[in-house]
Amino acid sequence: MTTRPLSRRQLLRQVFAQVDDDERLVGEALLLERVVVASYDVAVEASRSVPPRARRVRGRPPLPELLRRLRSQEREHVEVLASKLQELGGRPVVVPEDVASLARVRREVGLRLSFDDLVSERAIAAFALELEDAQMAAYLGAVRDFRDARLVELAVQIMGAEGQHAVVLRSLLGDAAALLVPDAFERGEGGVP
Amino acid sequence: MVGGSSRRAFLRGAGAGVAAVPALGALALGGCGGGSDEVRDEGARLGTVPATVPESPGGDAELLNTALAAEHLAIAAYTATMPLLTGPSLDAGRRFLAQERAHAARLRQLVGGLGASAVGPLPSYDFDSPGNEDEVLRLLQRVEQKTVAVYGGVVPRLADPVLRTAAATIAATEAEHDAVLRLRLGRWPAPTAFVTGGP
Repeated sequence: MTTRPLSRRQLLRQVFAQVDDDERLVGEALLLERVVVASYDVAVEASRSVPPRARRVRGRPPLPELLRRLRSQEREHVEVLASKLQELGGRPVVVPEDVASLARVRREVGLRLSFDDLVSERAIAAFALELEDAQMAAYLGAVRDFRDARLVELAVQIMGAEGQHAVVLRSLLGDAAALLVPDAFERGEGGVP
Repeated sequence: MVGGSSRRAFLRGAGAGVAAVPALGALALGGCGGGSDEVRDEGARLGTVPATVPESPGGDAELLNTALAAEHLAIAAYTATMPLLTGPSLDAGRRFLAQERAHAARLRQLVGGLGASAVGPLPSYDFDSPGNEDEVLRLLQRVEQKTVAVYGGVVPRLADPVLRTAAATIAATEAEHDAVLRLRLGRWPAPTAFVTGGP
């Protein structure tokens, strides 16, 4: 009998299924946010050495600056979640700084794309979009499971921000405005135009 | 303008009996949504609900009807302004209108599943009279922003986790609509780390 590999969503579900209280849920969200920030660090560095797209779009900064803006907001999420975790008496997890260990943690949270993929603007956008989708799926689970309504509110607000990040990144992958919101019900399940 | 009723009538219809949802008070369409929002910190707006929300007198059905009323407004806004959109904005407008209709259909289904009656649209809605595409995009962006605010108030107050999940998938989509409309206006689409729908 062969075993099919679990999808990212199944892996995230597995992670969050093990969580039975708000403290652990916040801890898991914080872990994912920290993995995302560390992944954006690598993506920002990579974006400096890939050729820029020939055509610039109104209101869109160059890729390194665009990624820095998204990373900056992810860092805000980290700050708030770390503060919430502290209030709940939890201990924050540490994400390794070296790339090899970070790659291992990325696989553990179900992220499939590799740092080796960061070879073009399009590839970097797809890499970052995977991060945003993973977070939206995770926050959707948190909205369902949080017991504290304040945490539900926070998760909805962050999920909205991740959705807007996804729009930014989808716009790098395809310029058709209508396709930047591929589904009427955002679940973080992908949707590259 | 669509029909003759005032937006005050909409507010009455949308907010009836759900005074506990603070975002509804901000549904007036004028005067919100600035143009310079490269980086905007809304951290101070966090925490508008208590840890344990008192049960709404009308229960989850009333909360979902509040969201449905906001969807009716959005549907009316897209329908009324579509003739002024062109090119990629028209393509986006058509898709978003279809998605708003899908949201309304889902909400009606959920409300019906709770044994309650779904609210219908008002006979008419009063919008500012946009004269060109940019004005339409700004109007639609304000509508989306306020819809996000409604969901931000509704979702944490829903008692049923399944309904919270359903509403959250819509809330995130509305935030994405907001981002696309900003993009069409040449603005940075993701101005805040915590999307509240506030100005």
